[in-house]
Amino acid sequence: MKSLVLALGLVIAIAAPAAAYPQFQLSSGSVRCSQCHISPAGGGLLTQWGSEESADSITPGGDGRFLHGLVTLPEWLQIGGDIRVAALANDVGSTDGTELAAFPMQADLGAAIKGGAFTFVGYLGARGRVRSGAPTSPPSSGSMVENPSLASYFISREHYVLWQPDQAAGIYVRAGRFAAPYGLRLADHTAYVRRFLGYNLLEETYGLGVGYLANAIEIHATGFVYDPLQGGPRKEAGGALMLEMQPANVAVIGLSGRAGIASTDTRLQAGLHAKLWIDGAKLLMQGEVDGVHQTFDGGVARNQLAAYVGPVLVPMKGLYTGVAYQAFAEDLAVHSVLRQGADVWASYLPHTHFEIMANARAQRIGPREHAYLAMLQLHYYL
Amino acid sequence: MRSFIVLILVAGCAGDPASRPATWSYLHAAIIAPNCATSSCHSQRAATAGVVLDDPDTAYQTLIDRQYVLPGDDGSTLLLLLDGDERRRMPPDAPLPAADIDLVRRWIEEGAKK
Repeated sequence: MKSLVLALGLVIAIAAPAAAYPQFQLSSGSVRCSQCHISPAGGGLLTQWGSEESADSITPGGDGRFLHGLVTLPEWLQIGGDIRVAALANDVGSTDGTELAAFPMQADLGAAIKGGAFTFVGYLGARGRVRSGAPTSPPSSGSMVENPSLASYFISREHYVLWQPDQAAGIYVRAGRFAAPYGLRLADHTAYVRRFLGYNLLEETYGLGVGYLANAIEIHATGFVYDPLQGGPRKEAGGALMLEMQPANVAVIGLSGRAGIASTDTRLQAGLHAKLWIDGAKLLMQGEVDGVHQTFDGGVARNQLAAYVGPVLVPMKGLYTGVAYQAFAEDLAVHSVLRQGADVWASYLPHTHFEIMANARAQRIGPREHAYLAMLQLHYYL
Repeated sequence: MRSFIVLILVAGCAGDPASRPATWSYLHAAIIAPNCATSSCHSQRAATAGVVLDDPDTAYQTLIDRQYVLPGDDGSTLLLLLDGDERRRMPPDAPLPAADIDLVRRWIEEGAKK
């Protein structure tokens, strides 16, 4: 019965990623993410112009509007969503061999309601579940295995109120649950620059953000506190700042900083990200490097480094292919805790609203551990 | 780019992993929470397998009470899970570096004190 209710919940709560596809910036002709997204730093619900543009600039064709244009939404309302299913083969060196799984990855429905300079943005959805909650073997004969509650599957990645007198440029203020803008803002939450820097899945925080958007520059500042209901591993409060410049409509240079204070430790991080679109070669170069200084109770400290370099080739409209190298040094003072990953991926949007994505990752973890992952995703967005 | 490569090389040949403290407060904040208490795994919300690891006190109690950790026993279930020995390896998407597992092992061998 629980499974039936969960399945119904998944069907009802249709989907949309709160994450952005950063490869669309520059390669689609749009210099700033907020040209197509309601969020001032990109990601999530599209503007009406962004919906229409998605059929022209990033896919071979179709009608990018809500439900392919079958229903015309009033100007004050935007609805979006994503549903994503996936299959994977995962080998992390277990003695029980390669894990194979097919699973619902994402199911979100979002709406934006606009009134004057104010916009409310909210998402409701269900979190994906790759594995059952039960361990492969109980820890001891006396231990109980409990399943997650049904309510724990329902989530809201983002919900905030945005005040923005002019969507194209100028100042904005927003308050609510959203990811404080930082770095490249990759869609893949397992990328080291997201996973280990406070931007893993559902780690959006509650915050108050202010920012300014201009022709070739944007700045975002956020004060945040962790979400006590849906939050991730760090119960922290702090602030983040991101400055991004877009010189000559073909490049992006960004600087980010973030400070988070938790009861057990303090983390300071700063990073640099950049993109360069080479139109003749249809090639987008992009990369990010971040340094972290973390201080624990008792005065113990460590310095970390996270990096991502990943060119994207767009050989034809609707097809995005990329490779990436990423690294995460958990503690620069300690050898043998360096993670390195090599990714290859392809995202094909044969028609607006539809995406097929395949990706593979090989990881080297420390001096002798390896892990391999291959994944196929089918994605429909409203 | 050159400085980036230098940083990676430095990260690969730095100091002794045993120099880190094998204390619960460090282990939890530096290794357990960021790798295991992610929102879809052992966070309070997901509580996969009924295990919550995002709070240091709750995490310690869970590991001890449910006998994932037997103080002094280097055959504790937690180590078998981290090694992927005869069961699904944890974390399932990105295993811990061996040096981190060794630090957890040292903490258990030294009595798994809080």
